[in-house]
Amino acid sequence: MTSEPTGSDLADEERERLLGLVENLQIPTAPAATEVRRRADSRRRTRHAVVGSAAVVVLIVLGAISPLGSDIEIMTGPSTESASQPEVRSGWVWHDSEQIVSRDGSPSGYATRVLPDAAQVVIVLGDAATCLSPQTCAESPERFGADEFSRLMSRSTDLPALAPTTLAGPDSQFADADIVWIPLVTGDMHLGSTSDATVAGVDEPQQFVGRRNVSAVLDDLEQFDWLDPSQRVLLMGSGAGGIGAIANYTSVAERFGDRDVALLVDDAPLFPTGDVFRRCQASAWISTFGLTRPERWPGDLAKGPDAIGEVYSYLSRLHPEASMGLIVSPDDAATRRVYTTEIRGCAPRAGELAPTTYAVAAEDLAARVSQLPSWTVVLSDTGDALDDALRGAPGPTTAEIDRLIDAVAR
Amino acid sequence: MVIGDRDFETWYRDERTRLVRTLTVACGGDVDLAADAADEAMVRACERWSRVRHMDSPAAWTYRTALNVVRRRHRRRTIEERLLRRVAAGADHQAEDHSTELWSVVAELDHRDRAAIALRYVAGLSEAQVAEALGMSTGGASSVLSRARAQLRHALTSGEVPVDQ
Repeated sequence: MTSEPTGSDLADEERERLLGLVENLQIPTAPAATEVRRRADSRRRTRHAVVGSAAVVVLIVLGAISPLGSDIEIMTGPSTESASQPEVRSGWVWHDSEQIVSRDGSPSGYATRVLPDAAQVVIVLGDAATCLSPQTCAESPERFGADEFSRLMSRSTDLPALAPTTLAGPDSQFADADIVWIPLVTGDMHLGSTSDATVAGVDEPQQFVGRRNVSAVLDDLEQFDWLDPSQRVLLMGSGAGGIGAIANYTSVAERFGDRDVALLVDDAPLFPTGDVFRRCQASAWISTFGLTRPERWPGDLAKGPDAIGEVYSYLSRLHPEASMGLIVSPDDAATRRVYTTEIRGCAPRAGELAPTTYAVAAEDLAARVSQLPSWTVVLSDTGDALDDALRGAPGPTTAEIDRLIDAVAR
Repeated sequence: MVIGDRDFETWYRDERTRLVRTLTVACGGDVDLAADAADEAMVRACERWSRVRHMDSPAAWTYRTALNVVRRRHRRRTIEERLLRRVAAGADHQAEDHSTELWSVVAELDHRDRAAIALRYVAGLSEAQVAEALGMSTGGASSVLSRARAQLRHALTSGEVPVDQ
């Protein structure tokens, strides 16, 4: 007879039955402690071998003029040794690095927010305009450093999607996570690997080195002990940052080895080449940004631009165990504009890309990607739905976005 | 559990078996996967022992790490099985020496509920430590545990798992 459970606990007999399950298990022999230590030492040596060169760390402790409410204090100093054991603080740290380059060639960096015992680290690729013509380059930031970061943190309006203050805000699902924020400073959707590129009609050479920048940040992160192996990892982006997240996922996943690395992408539909994503536009991305296939992707991308639209199935095949989330907004005018903008090497469209044409393509894409085993897809009525959800702004699909975050990233 | 200055070897010898047992329940009976994840988590703990040893609960940290490994490998295995069109009944992976019926009950629980039950009743962690290991708030862990207990109790007494998990 089973004894009555006491309060909210299991009854003794229930507990005994559970423990009885495991008492007689044939447990595989434990490795000797010396073997465990040897493996740990080997990994430790590997980790320390990649400690990079001297970056300058600018510590920005959020303050009174920031939306989070305290003084901003800036400290600079070499980070070679200190970066391996950074001080844990609740504010943001801007890491200035010579290895991370802005579109105009000036040094840039990235920002981190570290919390004690966070269960998750979120790596966010920032959003900004893409530089492919004089008009679009004018809208794209050409440099971003500590001063720009400080100004961004002091703003409460006109924020880019997935801004640091949004990610760490009180309504964010990632308020309790460690956050790495990589600004888009290269106008290339974090895709590029080309120095001194030219854009027709723009005088200055362009540093389209977004992928290299992401790689440089990952190099830096390997120094940090606070990237704890117990943490889950999420790579996330919206708009151009979302496209960058897709393109850089494999690199990030491989850097984190055996840890879970999830992917969450908003407003970054990559269509098969056709009426919406024309082959000439795909070719322009490849030639202008020096887009090369990410490591370990199947070689199809080398055959031509048509393969860009196949990235979802590539990722699903290459990372079948990964959790990936995609938010698609058929009525998002801002994202539609990416596929409408005049592109070098593309003949002008016979007519404007109709919203209904775009909407049908977006819905088709969502239906196709949702069939892939790694992906979960949400169709959103509005653009920037992920950003809205993190700011606690109620929207028609907020509940679905919350469920997507829970399914993919928690 | 605070372990003060005890060295890694002592802690490893004390904890490894319990970790494997707990993970076996969390895995729904897959003792090989559990041992694999436990050993990986132990290496990671050793790698960062100077920090882990001073944590309030090195065990909770290690369980969290191991559960991440389990989740990743289990997902990979599930997909491989699906691709190979094999029935993912888990019979190939379940522990051999056990009550099949009870393992079935445990295996049918939601993976998070199963992990919570394993951490609380096999590893003997407090609810706060369960919360830490699962990466959630104490309130959230209490809620998960409460639901998991109800489902487990129902299954143990009725022989079936409720549909509304």
